[in-house]
Formats: sequence, C-alpha cells, structure tokens
Amino acid sequence: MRYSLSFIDSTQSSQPYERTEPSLPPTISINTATKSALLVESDESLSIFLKRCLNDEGYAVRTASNSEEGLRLYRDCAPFNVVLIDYFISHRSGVGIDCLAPQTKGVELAMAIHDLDASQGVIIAAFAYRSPGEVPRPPEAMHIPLIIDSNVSQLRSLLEKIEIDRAIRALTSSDLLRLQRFAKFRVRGLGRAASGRDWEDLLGEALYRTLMGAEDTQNGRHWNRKVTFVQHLAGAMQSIANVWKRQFKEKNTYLISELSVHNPEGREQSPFDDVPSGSATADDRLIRKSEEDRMLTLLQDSPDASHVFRGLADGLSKSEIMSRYRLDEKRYTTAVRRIRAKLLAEDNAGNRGR
Amino acid sequence: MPYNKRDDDHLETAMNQLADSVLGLSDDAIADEIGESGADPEEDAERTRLLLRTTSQGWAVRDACVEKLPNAIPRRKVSAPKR
Repeated sequence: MRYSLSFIDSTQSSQPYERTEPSLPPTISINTATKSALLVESDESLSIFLKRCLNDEGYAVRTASNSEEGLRLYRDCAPFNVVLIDYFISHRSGVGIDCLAPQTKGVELAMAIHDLDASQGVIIAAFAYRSPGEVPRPPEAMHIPLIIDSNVSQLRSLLEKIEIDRAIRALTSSDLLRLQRFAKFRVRGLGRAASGRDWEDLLGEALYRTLMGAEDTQNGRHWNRKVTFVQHLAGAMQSIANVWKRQFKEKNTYLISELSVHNPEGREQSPFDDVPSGSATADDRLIRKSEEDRMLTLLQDSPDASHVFRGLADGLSKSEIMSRYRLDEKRYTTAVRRIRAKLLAEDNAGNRGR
Repeated sequence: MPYNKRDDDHLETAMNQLADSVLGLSDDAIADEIGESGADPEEDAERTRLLLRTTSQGWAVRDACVEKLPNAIPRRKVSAPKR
C-alpha cells in the first residue's frame, strides 16, 4: 500500500515528488554533527526530554510539533540518521475541532516517510501503551520499531539498531567477502570445537551479540565506533570462537568424581581403569595432526606455501617465517595467497560435493 | 597479532593467522582470489549480506507482537517521563 499523504500533506505540490536514491553512507548532517535526527513531538515536555536524549547520544536534532511540519522538514533536510515520531501527534498545530480529538497521526507520518525512503530509520514513541501489541497500526507498519517505555535504554537500543543497519547497508562487496572468509578460517581453525557450526553461525552470532550490546553490556558486544564495522565484527568473531572452544573443552572435561563408579563389592572404581589408552585430548590431538598433515599434502606442489603454512602453524610472525625459510616479501605474499586459494578451493569443492 | 603456540594448536594458529591476513587484502585481491577458486564473488557477497540482514531483522522482531488490538484503551499519556 502506498501512502498518498494527501490527507496530511497540504504542502504537497501537484508535481510528483521525486527523490534521488540515497547514497551510502547517507549520513549528511543538518549541521556539522556526524549524526542527525528529526523529532516530531507535540507534547512540549516530551519533546524537551527526547531532544535531550538524542543530543546525549550525539545527534543534532530538528524538531517539529505536528505531522505536517514533520513531513515538510523531512523533505527539506532528509536523510536523517533517525526520525523519532510520537504516536500521538496532530496533523497541524493551532485550534479547531480537529485539534481536540486524540490525534494519532504518528504512524501515518512514519509510513509516509517510509514511502519516500524505505531505508530511513524511523522510531515511533508510543508511551501511552503498555506493550507493542497494544499499539494499533496497520500490518504494513508493523516493522516500524516502537518505544513503549520512556526510559533511555530502550531508545538507545533502537538508535544503535538503526546505526548498525546503516553500517550493514554501507558494507561493500569486498567487506562482505572479507567477513565471510575471516569467519570460514576461524571456524576451520576450531576443528571439532566448532561442534557442527559453520561460518554463517559465527558471523550471525557476532552480529547478534553486537545488536545485543546496546542493552546488555555483559553478554553483548558494543560497537564503540573507534574501529570500522568490519574490524568490530572480526573482533567479535574472534572472541566468540574462543568462547566456543572453551565451552567445547569444558564440555569434554569431566571431574574424576563425576565418573567414579562403585563395583558390586562397594569399592570405588575409576572408569579409566578398564580403558587401555586414549583420552578426548589425545583423540583431538590426533585428529588435528592428521588434518595438519593433510594440509601439507595439499600444499606439496609449492615448497614456499608448505614452509609458510608450517611457520604459521608454529605461531611464527611474518618476519620470522621469512627469515627462517629465506623468503622475500613477494614470495611470502604469493605463498600465503596460494594457501588461502587452496583452502578456499577445497572448501568450495566440499560444498559442491555436499 | 601474537599467538601462543601450544602443542595441539598448530592448525588453529595457522587458520587464525590466515583469517587475519584476509582483513588486509585489497578489494581487487580478495575478489580475484575468490574468483580463482571457482566461486562467484558477487554471489558470496550477496549471501553474506543476506545473512547479516536476516540476523538484524530477526533481532528486531524478537519481542514484537504481530497481534493488532484496535480497541486497546490507551493509558494516560505521560507528561513527566521517568528517566
């Protein structure tokens, strides 16, 4: 459904409104601030409160007190990082019979803005309701996030979500490929500790924790903007992979007391008494060793690649590897590239096989 | 990035270093590498974008209620919000 805006937009010209596709990243401030917001709120005290909240989060704020003014400002100054609209706003300010009835033009304005730019981040403030399910809105407006509670954390969380969505849209194809390959190598390095998870699980978890980071600093990972979004997600993946590895080790480790059994005579007996050899760690080590050997076989047609892989596996730095195997910069770079290509080709062949 | 070598960590150490090396690749280099391996870089990029979008959308609707209650009675509008 397309919102014509005719009933809320008296300023609409007879010419169809044409708007160019927003370029990414579309953050062009109304002033000099890096982030901009449009606040449409008719209640003065709420307007002051919300404006202060947005200012505290680093947004330069334009305010409008009704839907007509809000739409005009949006058309004049868009795009904004976020548009925050009160559910209860009037069509226009002033006195008259239409100003006495409850005015719930917030959703209509939000949909009108969505029609102009589907990627525009919009939040509706519906403080008068107890839950999102209570807020009347058409099905096509259900995707618009709501704030129900007028505390700062909920607003902050939604603002963060909008900023993260913008960062996702701004990722280039190369960024996406870097993230994918980073995740693939990390998961491959986990071996059995990946427990059946793949690169999508790792990258998805990193983003999920990032989204969580705005409201839960303990379990989430807050993106602090000092690093790029790609670097942040890579760091999150690294951390999550380490957690998975730790969990795998903990899960596969038992206290002797947990395993102790009593024989028919009532004597305590360790289950390992009847096991001739081997442990989970030994098995794991064996599997890893055979995988490492398989890699070296895969690289046997390139002595440089084999050497570099061995050096990387030994935890050597680039300069140490170059020094140990007498490689110059070009040969080292070519060798690393060959290793990555071999592993990727093997990965692709595996996927095709599956 | 330094790695602590452990006896059973060889493979992981190598893979982690390779993962880090990907982050430093130029745009052309990463596309070329993926193309040479037989994969379609655009397809891989789109798949990754879809994953990120889906995860973000999943987060957005985690608490959303799709039920519409047109007769819900609004509470009194707050004028002095708590902070």
